[in-house]
Amino acid sequence: MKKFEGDAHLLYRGRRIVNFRPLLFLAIAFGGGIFAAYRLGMHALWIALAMAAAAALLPLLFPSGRRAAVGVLLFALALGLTCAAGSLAFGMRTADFERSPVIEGEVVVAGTLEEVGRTEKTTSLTLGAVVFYTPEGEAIASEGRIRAYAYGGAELPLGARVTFAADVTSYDAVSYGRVNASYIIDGVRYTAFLSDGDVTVLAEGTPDLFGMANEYLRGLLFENMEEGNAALAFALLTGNSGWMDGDVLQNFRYGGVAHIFAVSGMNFAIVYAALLFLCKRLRLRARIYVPVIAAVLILYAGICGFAPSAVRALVMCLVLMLMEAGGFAYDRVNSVAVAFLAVLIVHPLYLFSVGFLLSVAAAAGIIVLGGPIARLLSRIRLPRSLASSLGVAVSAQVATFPILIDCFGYTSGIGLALNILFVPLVSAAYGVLFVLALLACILPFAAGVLLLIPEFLLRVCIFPVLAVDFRFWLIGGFAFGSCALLWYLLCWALSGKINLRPLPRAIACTLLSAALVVGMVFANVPIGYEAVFTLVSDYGGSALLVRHAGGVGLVASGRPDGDFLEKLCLREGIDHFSEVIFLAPAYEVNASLPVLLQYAEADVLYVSEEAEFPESLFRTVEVRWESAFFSFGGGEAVFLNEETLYWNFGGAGVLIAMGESPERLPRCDLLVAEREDAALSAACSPSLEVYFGPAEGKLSVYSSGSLQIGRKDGIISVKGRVS
Amino acid sequence: MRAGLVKFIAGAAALILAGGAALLPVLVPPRTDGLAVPAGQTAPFDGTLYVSVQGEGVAFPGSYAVPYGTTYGELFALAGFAGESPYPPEAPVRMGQDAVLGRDGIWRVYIVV
Repeated sequence: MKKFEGDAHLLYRGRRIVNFRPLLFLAIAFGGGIFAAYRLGMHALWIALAMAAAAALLPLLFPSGRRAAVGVLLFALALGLTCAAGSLAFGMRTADFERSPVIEGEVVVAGTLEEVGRTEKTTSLTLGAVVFYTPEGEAIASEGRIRAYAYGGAELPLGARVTFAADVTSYDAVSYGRVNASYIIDGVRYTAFLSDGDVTVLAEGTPDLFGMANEYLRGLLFENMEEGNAALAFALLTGNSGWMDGDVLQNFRYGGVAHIFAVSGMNFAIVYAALLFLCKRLRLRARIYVPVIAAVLILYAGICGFAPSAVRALVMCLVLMLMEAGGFAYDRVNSVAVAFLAVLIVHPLYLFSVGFLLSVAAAAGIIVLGGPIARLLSRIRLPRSLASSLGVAVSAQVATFPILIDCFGYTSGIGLALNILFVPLVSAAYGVLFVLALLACILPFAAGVLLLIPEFLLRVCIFPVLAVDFRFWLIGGFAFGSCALLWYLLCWALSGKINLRPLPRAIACTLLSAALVVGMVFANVPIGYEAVFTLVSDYGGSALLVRHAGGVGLVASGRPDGDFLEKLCLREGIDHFSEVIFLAPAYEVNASLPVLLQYAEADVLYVSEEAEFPESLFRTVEVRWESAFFSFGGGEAVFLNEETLYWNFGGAGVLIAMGESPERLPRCDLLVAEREDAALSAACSPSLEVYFGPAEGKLSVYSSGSLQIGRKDGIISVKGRVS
Repeated sequence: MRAGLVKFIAGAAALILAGGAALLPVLVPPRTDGLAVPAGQTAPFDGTLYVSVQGEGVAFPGSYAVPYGTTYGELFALAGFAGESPYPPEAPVRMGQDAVLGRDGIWRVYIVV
């Protein structure tokens, strides 16, 4: 056997250290361009072009033949241009989203009903062709869509022209430190909350083909199956889990298997495989079956309401089908790279969509790590099929771990086992359900009989999820931030995709592991401060969290949303607060405490003595009425009124204002307020101001995400926190 | 050679198409600044506690500006009080019930021994 020249190399085996894949590099360049534009704006465009020019000059420095030089030059240019195209696409899409005018406050809205979605308690109505009528009599037409949440089950026909009066809020491209990727992708610029009876239909319309198909399928399932099973089947088929029981759905989330309700790769792969099998059996040619399968898949994505995960899976599936039909050499890394590029071309904001990142990470993880893990397992004499399925499940979990932790704050500790057991079962049940539901749609008179088998299969599949509470198996309380990059580099170094010799590989892995451990400690443990507290905010509430020797203290705004508190507790890994303060009127404090107690225990609730908080014999939490300074969060605090607290944080005066403030205020070093207020700021003359809500040119949780505030040696410092 | 040329043309066409698809739907001037807003700011604080010590047996009654964390023992030594202290000497001075907010917006702790 002929040896490669490169075999003599100390570091790697074979010809080169990694196989050069132009498509992978182009995909990374496009994604990099988008990310650079997010951080740097249009400077990214010039940087990309400059880097392309610099890379093109490289061959001149290391001459190795003219042809090679031309190749490198052309590819460097292509990379630079791809990167620049990514930046430009991102800049234009966000500019287009922000071009719709900002509308705030009470207005009358008229629009055409385009989508109806359901959650446990609310119905979401998405309207296009929107016109706002302001109280001043001005009519403002906007290209942005509005999503109105109606309490109760509003039954409105798709395509109808409707009107309602509501308090409208505009979404910015970034709020609370996160890119609102799904809103930008859906073109939803506004939101409003209304009651069921508030909506008036101006003109009946006809829903589109997809809407009608969706309604027909739902009607058929609910008529012929038990309600819970019908809701489950509908969620599996269309990704609309709104009809399911909220607690059951939450248990699926805690178990790390809720991804089965996002119509994504699994569903499209099964449908595609079934159709391809059928077409090949019928001996159809590629030029016939490719458009037929594409049409069916597009129709299916349409029935799913063109949800982002469905569009993504559709694009990936179409790209892979075309590559296979076109006879391009099948390489799994290239396929994922092409699909990644294609989805980002459809909309560059997908780069910030959690679902997209999870899909890509899982697919790439299986390709890069699945093989080596399966080989490792078969060495300990596991049957090949078991080793292979374990390899797939473990590699997908490893690759998605940092994304799950950073985006949701937790991941399921039992998710791996559940995914190994549950996903193949559900995939099989889904395949049967899809085929029989399709038949039932064609032969509605036989639907009752046809749907019996999938109903039984689904009931068997979800039994373990209904029987066990998975909330106690969660991993969380830390964040990866930029350390995620080290995690992925480590995965890559461990994989078979890099041709390192054993010793250099061991050294690289050890160094990367050490860097990861040090990075994670620095990112998550506040080092170099005497004491630290954290500000967290969302559309559902605002909170200040302080960890001290005596426990964890919480100061929250009134009536925080249950989802907000749950996310806060899971993300921070807290199930017990030593002291709690709600800066709100007494009746709101009374309503807020039970919401908090659903997610964490509390020892003491402090309330202002003047607040007239009702006494009750049935409280599980000790309530203390305070009129002077009391111990809080390792310092001392005093209520200035129901909504304002002064807190001496180790010598630094912190004024926390969540609403109306009293006229006379103490001087403070740091002002933490719900919203910007010039009078408040002038009255307490702070050295630093931090706001939960939007504040132009000031530090805010709204623009930067959660903030960490520390003190040391007479200095208060505020910085953005990892996650 | 010819196959290579065909592949190159096909690749270039795909790239141009992709670029066009990425930019065409919204022909608006791009956003020039980034969306990410980095956070980071520091400010000094003096950490001073204003305490007024009065009472019999206090050699130097009056107001004292002491650093946060000063103990009652240190404060009474400063004020020249040698009698029996009603507060534990090793405990840091607390604002407690005795702090009063002045018109100038500063909290002052009044201790009478």
